[in-house]
Amino acid sequence: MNKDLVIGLEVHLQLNTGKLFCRCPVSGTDQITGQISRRLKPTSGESGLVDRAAIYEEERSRAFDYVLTDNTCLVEIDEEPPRPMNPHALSAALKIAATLKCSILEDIECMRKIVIDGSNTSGFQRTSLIAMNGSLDTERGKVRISSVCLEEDSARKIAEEDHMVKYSLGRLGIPLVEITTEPDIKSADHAIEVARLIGLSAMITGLITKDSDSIRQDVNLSMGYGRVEIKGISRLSQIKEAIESEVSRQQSIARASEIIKKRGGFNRSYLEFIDVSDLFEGTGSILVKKGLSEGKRIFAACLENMNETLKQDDVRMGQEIADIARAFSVGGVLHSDELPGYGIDDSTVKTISKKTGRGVNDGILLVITTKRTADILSREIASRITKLIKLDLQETRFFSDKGRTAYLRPLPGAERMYPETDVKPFHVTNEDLKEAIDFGKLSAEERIDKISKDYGISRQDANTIVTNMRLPIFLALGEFIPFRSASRLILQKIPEVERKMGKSIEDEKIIWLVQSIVKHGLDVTSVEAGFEILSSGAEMKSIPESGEIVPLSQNELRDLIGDIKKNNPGIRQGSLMNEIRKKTRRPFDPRTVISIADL
Amino acid sequence: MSGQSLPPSGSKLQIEHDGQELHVTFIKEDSGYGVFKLASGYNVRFPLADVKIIKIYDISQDHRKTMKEETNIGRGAHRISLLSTGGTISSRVDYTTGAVRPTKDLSFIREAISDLEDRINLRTEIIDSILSENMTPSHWIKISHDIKKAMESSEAVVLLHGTDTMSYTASALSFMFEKQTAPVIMTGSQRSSDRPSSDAFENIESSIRFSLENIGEVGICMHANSSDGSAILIRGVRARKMHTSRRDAFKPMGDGEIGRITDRRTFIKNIRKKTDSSIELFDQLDKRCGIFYFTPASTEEELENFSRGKKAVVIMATGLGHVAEALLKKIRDLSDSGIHIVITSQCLNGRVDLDVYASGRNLSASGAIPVEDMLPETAMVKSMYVLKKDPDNFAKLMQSDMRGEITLRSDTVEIR
Repeated sequence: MNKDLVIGLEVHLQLNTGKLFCRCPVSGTDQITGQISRRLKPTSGESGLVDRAAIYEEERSRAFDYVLTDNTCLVEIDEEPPRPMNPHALSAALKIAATLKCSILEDIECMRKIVIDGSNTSGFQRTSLIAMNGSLDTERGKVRISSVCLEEDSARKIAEEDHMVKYSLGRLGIPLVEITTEPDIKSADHAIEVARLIGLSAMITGLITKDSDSIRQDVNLSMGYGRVEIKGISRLSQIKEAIESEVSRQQSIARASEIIKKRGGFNRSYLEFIDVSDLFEGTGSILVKKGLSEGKRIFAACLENMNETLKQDDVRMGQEIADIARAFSVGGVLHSDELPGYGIDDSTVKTISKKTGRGVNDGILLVITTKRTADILSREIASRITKLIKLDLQETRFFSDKGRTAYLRPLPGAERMYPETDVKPFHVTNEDLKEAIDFGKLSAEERIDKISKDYGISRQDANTIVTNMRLPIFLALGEFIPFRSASRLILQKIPEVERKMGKSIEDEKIIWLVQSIVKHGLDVTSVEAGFEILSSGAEMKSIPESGEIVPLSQNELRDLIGDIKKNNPGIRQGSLMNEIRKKTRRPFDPRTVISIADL
Repeated sequence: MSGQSLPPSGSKLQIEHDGQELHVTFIKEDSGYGVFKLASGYNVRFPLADVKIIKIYDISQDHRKTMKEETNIGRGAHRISLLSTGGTISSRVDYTTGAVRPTKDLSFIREAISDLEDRINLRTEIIDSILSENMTPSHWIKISHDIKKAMESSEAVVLLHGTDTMSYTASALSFMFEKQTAPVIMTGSQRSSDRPSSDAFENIESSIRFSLENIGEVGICMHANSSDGSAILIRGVRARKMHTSRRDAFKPMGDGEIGRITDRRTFIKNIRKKTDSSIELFDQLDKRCGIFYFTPASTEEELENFSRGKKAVVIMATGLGHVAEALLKKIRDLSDSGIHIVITSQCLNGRVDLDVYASGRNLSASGAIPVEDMLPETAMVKSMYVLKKDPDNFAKLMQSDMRGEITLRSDTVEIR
């Protein structure tokens, strides 16, 4: 890999402590309770400057629809000021910071980070810097932690059409701990190790949600062409994919830049789009036909000196142009390296070449859109090409489901931050500070060792319990049954039952069932029997009272074994157990069977 | 930083804190703390005693967009005056105190109305810069003079106002302007204009759209619901703030809705048209009026103390307009001594009626003046006006409709 490659990570983890600035629960049923629509405008921060990422969003001028769910209140729809910061979330974040050996800030000021892509109803994300200057020991050396922030999670995008984006508000306001490293990461594999260790340091608190997107990584990457932030990497394995695809993209742009510069460069501040819709009357191109039927027009422009840099083996500038068009909700983009094609014949391409004044080194771009959007794209595309050829590649990208990174927005500056005046700055209490520092005395790995030792379970089980976010339920069940049994129940029995049922059982229900069975003077054998009959469709409420979870008494076993032996005189031990299970679902002690059967 | 002099706000510094060197922007001092902005944009607060300044760089340029106190926006034919009194709508973050407060920067208005620039020629003027909880009847009179002046030179007046007492000002202006040659559209916002989600932008845009209509009264224009995209115009004497924080806090009470904008289309109903003759402004108010909220714990003594020095007391009574029997004698005494006792209801919706129950009849017999379905706040402001306008006919005028504050027919509108 490139020796100039510099990598840093931002890891985001959701806390299960209740939302950060209101008293809504973190999880809801996703039941829709209403819908509103809003618009957002960029505003200037403390310095009077407007954030460039915000201006970019404004130019895209979109309306946002928000779906309300049963875990949203007036705070999420920006109709009520935030409540004071959730102390449980703060305490969890401080513990994570301490585990990462950060120095905790004793005075916390909440900021507004301007985000007007609609993912926050207020137009900003509330975020607080809570700790700085930590470090993480890895197999490839020390990685410095620059900061730990506690912020609000954004709303989840559920649909996007022309100039309209729809979000669900259930996720908005969930506390998110953001851990940022310095660019000390040496390779994609190293990045995976760092992300895993950071994740572990957070999971060890037992306060990370179990949601599928509870942990998200952003990669900060530079190979000397400016910092690129790649967002939205939810699986550890994707970190490597994202880094490798971005490195190859930047190398490809560097090659394209060299070719184009050699030919005299790209010297346009806008593309001269001409309407060539007339050439497509009765066209065989499905893409063009669809656009025309939607009332759109076909615009063509010459791409100076860009012939054969748009889509060749190792240069793909066409993709870069398509990305920026997509950001303005334009999907219909074609270029000369893929033409003739898409139902467009050679003679049409020639006519367009002539009309646009295409020279031998020039490429052609076709865009299917409205006049108004074409006017905007004319400048946006030209400025993007100019920027790329200058090898100024800094921007925010995202990791798409196609396994590559794609353009998201300009990299935001410090202008996007100003104080959240609705939340008063506050002092971290001595108790919180002390609790966090005490917690941070052990690293995550040491803490897993301790769990293994303290509760008499294997280290591997301890690790699985932590990384599957099962620590809270493990500790809760330990109140009623031995920890080893709790571990077996959580790691084996319950997943098995959930597979059979085809759905997961809520933690509160698991705890209730275990507690209710144990209250009847029954032990873990009955608990497992209880879960077994749950999986065969029994109603949970009825289980603690059910006779089917009561173990067979010695007498009952003796009668049963007597019956079985009468029919199968020479029966073996293993078959005997199976025969008993066939006759009853009730639990029994195998040792008693052996002593009675006298085999 | 003890013993070191503080640089001006905005200076770029290199500081040392807790053994770490940081490049920061100095924001402010706050009771022994220094607030600094890091390169990442986050603010940090350190006790000044723990901070050592290593180096001070140049003070950054002030990039803030500013606007003169008076300015013109748009190149259209319709001359509209926009007067700002302050309130959340013209408020921004004050980076020195960290609080939100009114500023003299109205530059955001240009962005709010870019769609209308071809139709209007908007002259903006800051006539005051206060939060509406600090408004007094003297302010109403001053505002009425500013509006009259603006009305003489333009086709419509838009007034930016804090929302807390906006309906009081709206009522006062409604009565004081006996004839108006232009609409007076008041608007405010529930989210300050420094927030991307502020309702200020749409509220101003909608107010200007309403101001292009033939309206000869004072209305309040705010969001019609929690979504952007629709606005409501409420008759000044019929508006009430019914929520502390929502965008659609203002509700028309009774048949107070006189206009609506949906998808940039304006609908007007049931309005008084503007007069072709000259403006008639009656700029006198008797401030010796107040609202007494009756509760089961209210005593004669309390009512007496409250009424001291007043010329009219509006009682917010219960239900149809009832107060405890124990207060009846005091009400009669006050009434006999020349203090007008006006009866409205805490229910806010519906009409007072002192004929249904004996307690109501006794209250009526004590000289109290029931004022139909008039809102308590409107009744107080109207008392101020009537006490100067025609004190001899106080009861009669209070009980007749002057600006839409009383309707004799209760429409079957939705009860809010």
